[in-house]
Amino acid sequence: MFDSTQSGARTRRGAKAALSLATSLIALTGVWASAQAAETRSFVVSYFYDANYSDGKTDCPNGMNMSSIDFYRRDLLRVGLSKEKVEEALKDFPGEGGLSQPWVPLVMTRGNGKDNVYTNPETAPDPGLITVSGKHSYGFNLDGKSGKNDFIEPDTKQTGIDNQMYRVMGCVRSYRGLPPPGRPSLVENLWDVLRDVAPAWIISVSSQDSLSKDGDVTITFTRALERITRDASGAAAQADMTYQMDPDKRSHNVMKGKIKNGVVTVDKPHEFHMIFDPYMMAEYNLTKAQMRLELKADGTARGYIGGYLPWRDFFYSIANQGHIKEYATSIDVPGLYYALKRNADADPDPKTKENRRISAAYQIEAVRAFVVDPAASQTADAAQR
Amino acid sequence: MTSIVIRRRLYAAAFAFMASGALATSAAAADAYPAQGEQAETGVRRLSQEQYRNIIADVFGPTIKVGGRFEPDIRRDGLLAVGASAVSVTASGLEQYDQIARSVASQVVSEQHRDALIPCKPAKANAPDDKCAKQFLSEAGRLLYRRPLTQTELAARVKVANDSAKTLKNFYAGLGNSLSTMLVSPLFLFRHDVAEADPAHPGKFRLDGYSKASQLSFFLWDSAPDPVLLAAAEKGELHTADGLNQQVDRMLASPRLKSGVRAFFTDMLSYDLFPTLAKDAMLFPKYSSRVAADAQEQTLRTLADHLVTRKGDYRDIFTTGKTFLTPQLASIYGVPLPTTDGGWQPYEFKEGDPRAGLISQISFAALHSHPGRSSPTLRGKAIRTSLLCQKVPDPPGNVNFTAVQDTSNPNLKTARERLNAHATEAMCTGCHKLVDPIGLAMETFDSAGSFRTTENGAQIDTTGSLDGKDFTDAAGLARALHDSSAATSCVVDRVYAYAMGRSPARGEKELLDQFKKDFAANGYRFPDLMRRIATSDAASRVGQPQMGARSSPKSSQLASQTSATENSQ
Amino acid sequence: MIPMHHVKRRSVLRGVMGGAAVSVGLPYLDCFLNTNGTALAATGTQLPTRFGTWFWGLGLNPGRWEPKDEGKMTEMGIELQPLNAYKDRMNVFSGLKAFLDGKPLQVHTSGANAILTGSVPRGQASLPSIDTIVADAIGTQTRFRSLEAASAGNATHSQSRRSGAVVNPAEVSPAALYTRIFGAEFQDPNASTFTPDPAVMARRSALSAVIEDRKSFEKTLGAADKARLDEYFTSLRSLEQQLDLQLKKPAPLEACTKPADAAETPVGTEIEMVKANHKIFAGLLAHALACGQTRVINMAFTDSTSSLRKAGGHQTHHEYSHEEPVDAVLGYQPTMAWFFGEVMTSFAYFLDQLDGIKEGDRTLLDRTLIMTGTDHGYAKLHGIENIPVFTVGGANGRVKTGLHFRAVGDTVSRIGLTVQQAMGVPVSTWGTESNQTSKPFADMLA
Repeated sequence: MFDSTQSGARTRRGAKAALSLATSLIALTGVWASAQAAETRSFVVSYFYDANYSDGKTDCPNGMNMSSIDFYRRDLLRVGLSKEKVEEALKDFPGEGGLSQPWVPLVMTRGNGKDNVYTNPETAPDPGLITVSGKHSYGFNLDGKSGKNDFIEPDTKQTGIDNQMYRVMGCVRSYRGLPPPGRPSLVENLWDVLRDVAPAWIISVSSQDSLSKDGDVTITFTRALERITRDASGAAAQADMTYQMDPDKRSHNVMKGKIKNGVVTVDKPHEFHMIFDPYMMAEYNLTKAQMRLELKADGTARGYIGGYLPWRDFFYSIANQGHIKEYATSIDVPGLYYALKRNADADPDPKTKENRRISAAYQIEAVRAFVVDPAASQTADAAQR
Repeated sequence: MTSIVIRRRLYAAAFAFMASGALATSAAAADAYPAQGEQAETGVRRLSQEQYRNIIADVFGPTIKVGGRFEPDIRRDGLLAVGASAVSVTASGLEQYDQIARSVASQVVSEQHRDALIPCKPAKANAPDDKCAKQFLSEAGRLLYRRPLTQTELAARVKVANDSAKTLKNFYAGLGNSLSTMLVSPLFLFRHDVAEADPAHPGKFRLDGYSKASQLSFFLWDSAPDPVLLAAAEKGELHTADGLNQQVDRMLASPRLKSGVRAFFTDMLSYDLFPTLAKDAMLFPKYSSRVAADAQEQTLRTLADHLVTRKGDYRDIFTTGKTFLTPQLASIYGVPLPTTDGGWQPYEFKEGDPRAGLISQISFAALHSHPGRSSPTLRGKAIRTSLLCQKVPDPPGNVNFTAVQDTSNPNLKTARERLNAHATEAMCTGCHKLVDPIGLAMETFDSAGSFRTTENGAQIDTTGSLDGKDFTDAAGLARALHDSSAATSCVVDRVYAYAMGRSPARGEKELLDQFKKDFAANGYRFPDLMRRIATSDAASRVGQPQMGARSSPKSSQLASQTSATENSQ
Repeated sequence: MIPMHHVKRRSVLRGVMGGAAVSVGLPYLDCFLNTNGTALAATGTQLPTRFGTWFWGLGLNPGRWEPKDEGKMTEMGIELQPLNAYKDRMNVFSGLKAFLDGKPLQVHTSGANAILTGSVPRGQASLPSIDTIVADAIGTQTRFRSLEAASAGNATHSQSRRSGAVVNPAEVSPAALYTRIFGAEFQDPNASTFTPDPAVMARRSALSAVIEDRKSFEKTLGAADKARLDEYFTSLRSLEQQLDLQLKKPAPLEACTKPADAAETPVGTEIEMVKANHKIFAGLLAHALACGQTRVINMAFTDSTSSLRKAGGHQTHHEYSHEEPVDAVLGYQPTMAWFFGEVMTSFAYFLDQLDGIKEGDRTLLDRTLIMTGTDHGYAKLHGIENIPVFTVGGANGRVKTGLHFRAVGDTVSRIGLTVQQAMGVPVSTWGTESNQTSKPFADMLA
């Protein structure tokens, strides 16, 4: 009780200071702007999801991965259950999906009949997930090379694109972004749920000059204290809301980049941290991150961020919910494990030589916002009226 | 046939009135107390929903829930408070009042509340108890009826309690039954002014003490008199200048004054229209029912803060940048507003900001707009009718509105261009001249109240004039309103009508002129205006000057038609 | 305004005769004409008003169900075509949403709770569902306060709860429901003797005290105000007449017939099985209403995470919602649309059962108000915006129908508030936090 009162008072004081500073700084920025024409535009991220280029034609010519009922049937027969027993267990699949369902204990141990496959995926053999064999993918050339596994960016036509995460996930139904640049249904769904409870993510783009001119920019991608506010329809984020930067520096990313024709690019590799929520991803931790963000005339922004992600982080974001995500979204968890391991393309372990990171790219949709930094007493103004 | 002739004449009168820009006040009738020996006739006003709720909360506490559907109020001469003098209770309305009353009564006598709310205990809980019933019903009745019950009235209620208790074998159920009949009684649902002979003016009449107490409390607090005020009435103190002043001072110093001020502006600014206000969500994704509620609250908070807390100049409500915002309102205003809890924060728009005062607030811009586009005509009309107490005639029939309504015409990009095209029709020009030059200055606020400088890519021209005063934008219009004597004159007329439940009559011009002079002399302090009216002789008199042209039945009908056709444009 | 009390009495009387008082009387005369006629129609019957809910999971495909026009419906969206026969006797609500206020979205329950309890709970629901609130207002005199059935085989699919997390369990076996209603304990509604309710008797006699209050006014009122009081006392008379009706033996429920015995049927989640059981339930519940055994029924076609599946298929309706891509050409999820077609066809069948029973000059459906519930606006996203909700039936003349209400961004609890007011629950504000509302759809209330 005592603690909460104290921290409440502290926050209030902080906010009050921020408010007065914010208002005074905005007035000041106005003067400053006319002298130096510096400009900052700020945004709140309305969607963040795996950038999976699913054109529905060339991406998965070998078909889609199996539905959960089918790979469960396959695996249960493999571990030696009789056909009758398997069909009996799956008779009412999935039913309520809870632990009392007859199929659940069986699929949990479908590797060796005793260990949990979600924590011990190697107890099951590699079923060989169907992976993407198309030529195009969103993302970035992270290693500066053009290899046999690299893609071509469908919009910029840049070659050497590294996005092995897409290769692994692109033929899983719930991870297809149909039609491009669509939001994969599972990730869209998780984000949509989380943005009502998790803190918002904010982006500020600043230049010493007008952002209408080409030149150097600084990009701040950080977490807010507030949650996102939806607009009246509920579908999009409300524009021009105020967000305060979270003083926690762990997710505070400052990147140097350039703007050209309203498109911001970061091609010098940065470290990127986005501590999020285990329901979707505990943390997006990217090395050699690059970014591209188009600032649109209507006040919205859209683009991509890519880098190398520890593939086990992603694996556990699916496996940590046991059979739940697996059956509901048809992601064969042991299959995922092997596919990620096989396709990982960076950060080799010095001892085992096994790659610990996998190239990945995420799409960003954002709307105009005000961003206030209560800690540094700075205001990044939104686009001018 | 006759009615058509009359209507035409009244249109003409309305135009003449508009042109003069002043109150139509020719030929004041003689002062008209009721003639010697004639019985004074007194008024009856139905309680508003808010007043009903306030009374229940005052008498039985805020934990008693008042739930139900109330009958709609009716606006007359710009005020629901005036309409309250013309409405009755329909059968379906009474059915609702009955449900609400039974629900309130059963909560009051419930086990949870009875110990706190019933001052005595029955001898037996399963049988009538005359004494306890009498005590509760006379005490509660006094507060609900705003006067002591007569012997007959009390006896009837006690009998109901006893009979019901016998039938139901339950004292409390019987008492609840009796209480619920009090709550559906016309003595509760209607404010009934009672006249008595005025000893200071032999042969004339005044409100009796209890009616006077009700008038003060509904006016200043939007609720029934509290026990202190009833005691003053009982002792006859409200008939003496000292006694009256003492009570009015006490009431003006109470925090409840803000409820009274907010209730007045809720009425004057027509906030009863908000529940039916809709915006096209595709065009205005920031607008929601939440925003609508916040927008009203913003204006009412700002007014209560400026007029009551700060004791500010009424005229400054048109220009002040000081206000209160929620984060969602801030997003529509396009300003940053960091908060810790997402709630209300004080905010000040700086000098030179396009947001200045009442008419630049979302509540005003959004309420007087169409779902998909702003409306200079509705806004101009709202300023004329709500804020300046002027009348704007209805559009004539058979008008082609296509030019105004079609916002996609590439040749008519702005509202000004569309209205110009429309108003070339001779029959429309007259009225549009009254409202458009004002409304067009507000075109930089879209239908949801967001600021803009262009419409369909074309620059918006916000120049205009108000009764000879030119301006270049909404802030200029706000300054013109600030300096307009019509605006201060209007609020005096409205406050008086609100207090009295009727519009000022022609014979009261001098009286109102005096109020207006005093308002100006006191630096346009709103509580002082309320005090002046509350303590005036006029507020105690029964029998007013005879009706004049302004309050004829037909002009009233004209007024209601004007509002009925507001959407045609 | 007309300060009538200042006008000499005689001139007023003249005015009344000459027609000038028309404008005096206009405000309340208007109300009288607009509402009173309907109000009398609503209350001038002894046949009871009934209420029901019908629940299905996963909403509908956004953009495919909403009627084109607001107000009077000329055409409903394609996914509501199975209900076309009821277009003029139902209302459709679109654009409404549930507010979370920072609470985590509990997929498949938050939206349903907002519709049915006016509140999005953190954790388990704890507020009463609308059917129990309505049952307390209209269903206290019957053998069952309410009856619940679920056609997909699970008693917990019921959405009806008094309070706390526990639902009023639904009957899943049609045979069991039959025995419960029409078995040995069945009470013939037309055989029992009638005892007037003492509470109504007490209320009826108490109203005489109000009539006496008139005397307190007589002396000083002007003619116009007297006319207003007359109107009040006319209304009071009508209230008395309503109570008189309640003190008389109710009209016989002539429409009551005992349905044929329901046989044991297989229970499961295969859609044909669910539809078959639902058909039997629909008939039984309609007969239970007609026979006065209850006034409130709750039918759960599926639970919120609909486990419906096609015969022989293993992919459930719910799995399709997340996995089926939006067809690039069609612009929606086609298999989902197929399921929705089946669901709405079943709902139409349910309504057919109520409409097939004639009660006096109307049908049972005309005397009933059915409100639907579901969990999502767009199940693919677990979206709780634009949740489809309908009401069907005239509630004995208490509601107007054939209307489409579009209120984008408003809380979905507005519907529940409106429904409660139509059913005579004394409530003017319902719901919690941002789902709290005082704004009924007034145009729906007769």
